[in-house]
Amino acid sequence: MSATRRHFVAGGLAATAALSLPRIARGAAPRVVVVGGGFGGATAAKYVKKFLPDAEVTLIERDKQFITCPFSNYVIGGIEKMQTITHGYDKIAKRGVKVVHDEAVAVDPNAKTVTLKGGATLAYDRLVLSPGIDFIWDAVPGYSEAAAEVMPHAWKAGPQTLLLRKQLEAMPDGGTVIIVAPANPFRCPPGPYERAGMIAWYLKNNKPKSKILIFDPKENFSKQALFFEAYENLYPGMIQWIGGKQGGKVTRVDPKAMTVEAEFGEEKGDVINFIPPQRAGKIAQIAGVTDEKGWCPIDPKTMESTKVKGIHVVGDACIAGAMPKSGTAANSQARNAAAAIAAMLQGKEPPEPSFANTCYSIVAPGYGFSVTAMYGATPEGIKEIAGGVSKLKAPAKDRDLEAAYAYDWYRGIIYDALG
Amino acid sequence: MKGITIPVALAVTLMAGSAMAAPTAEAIARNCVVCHGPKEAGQLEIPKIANYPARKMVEMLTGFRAGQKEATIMDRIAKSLTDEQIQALAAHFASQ
Ligand SMILES: Cc1cc2nc3c(=O)[nH]c(=O)nc-3n(C[C@H](O)[C@H](O)[C@H](O)COP(=O)(O)OP(=O)(O)OC[C@H]3O[C@@H](n4cnc5c(N)ncnc54)[C@H](O)[C@@H]3O)c2cc1C
Repeated sequence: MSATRRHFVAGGLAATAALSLPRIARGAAPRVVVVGGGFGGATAAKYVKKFLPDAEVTLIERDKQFITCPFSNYVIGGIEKMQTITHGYDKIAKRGVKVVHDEAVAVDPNAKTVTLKGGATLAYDRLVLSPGIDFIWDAVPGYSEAAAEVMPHAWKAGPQTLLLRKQLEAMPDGGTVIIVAPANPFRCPPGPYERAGMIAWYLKNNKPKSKILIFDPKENFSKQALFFEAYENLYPGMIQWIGGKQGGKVTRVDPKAMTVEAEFGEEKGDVINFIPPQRAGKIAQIAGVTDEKGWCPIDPKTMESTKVKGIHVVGDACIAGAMPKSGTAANSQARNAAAAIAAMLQGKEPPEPSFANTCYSIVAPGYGFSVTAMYGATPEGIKEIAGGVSKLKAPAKDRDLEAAYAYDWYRGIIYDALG
Repeated sequence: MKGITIPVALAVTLMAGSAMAAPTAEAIARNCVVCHGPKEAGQLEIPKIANYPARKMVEMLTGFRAGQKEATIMDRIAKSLTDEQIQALAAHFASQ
């Protein structure tokens, strides 16, 4: 390093240290940078701007459009189109959020900067990370990022969603669809089982001799009794669940032979939907906010990382106690984080958070049910206050109503996050 | 403290009270509007609750909480609310 360069860096650091605190105190606009424009990040950006209109809020999102995982199972089942689940960032940009389509590749928590792939470096007073999940590609022998082109995960919506749909369309009647569900914790606990229902809807109407096998390392799962009741009512004999006790844990896959090897034995599939184990999106690891399992511990009152000050983590990436990894949870965490950030930037005590989750599942048109709960912050983490699942044996009109409510929920959360 | 026994129910109340402080009605209400959104959100079936009459909302929420009012989902959610929170939420939405 040349003398002038060294001098410049040292001088720059000293200047940053001297100015970092007084900057806001002097009345300069506080700078909040949000990485990830999904349910958590878009909501955080929108609400920081709402709570603190003077703040300079920058949202960094890799993609030009947000294609939602919620409702992507309905595209796979053929009852919705990609267009329904594709959204732009123009509305939150109009609200004053600066939207930058780039990828965050580095975070310096001391200098309080985020570096983008395009080369720019952004300074922040508070940073929010909502990068969602990354897949652990090599957790099961035989699977890899390349194998996902043959055995799609479709667990990030987009081309993978369409690939799975196309494979179902190409499959012969009488074929076998295998869904490999991951162990806990993972994005959208009811998701694999809703997907089985949606695929069954397509098969029942188009390829009724086919069957669906769900391989699962778990012994139970979200809304299990409701899913089993629905499978029985709507698709008798079509869906078979092989849980942990029955040897459903997958030990190897072979994308060439299209086989899945589990503890109980091997099966061949015509379509194989392999959902890999997950961890927080990579930028969380780069920023140093992940634990040894790859998820991010947070202070439940502010969603601030317990590992690195000044960085808040929301959504799937964070460890949110009793809350599942859902879009509704991410959205709720982000609003509370935004309120905490606004208070902290004004030197005030962060308000007491109130968290909620609602996840609807639709397993056939007009057949929906839900899990919901309210949560609060405790020193031991986020705890459930009350909640539960839809009633078993509910009248058809309730299932129909909950399917309609699912659509309203979708409209509502898209508006709350991006509208 | 030797020899003093605290009844379990009371101990639980104390713990819950100190561990989970009360959020404001505004903070709770932000969860409500995700589904019961403003008209811009374009919801079709879920009832709107902005400008909802306060007395009626108290009646609805306490009815849901007690399991006396028919519901698909609000019975489960209302169980999380205290009397004070129900009053505060009703006042909040009535004045929107
Ligand atoms: C099939 C399926 C169905 C689902 N259904 C529901 C449902 O009905 N209801 C529900 O509540 N939830 C549902 N979910 C769960 C929901 O999708 C997630 O919980 C939610 O998206 C989490 O929000 P997030 O902000 O953490 O991550 P995401 O929404 O995934 O957003 C993360 C964003 O960050 C961006 N990003 C990541 N790293 C960087 C970087 N370094 N630089 C720039 N940008 C970056 C990504 O491009 C992405 O847009 C479902 C999930 C699946 C898979």
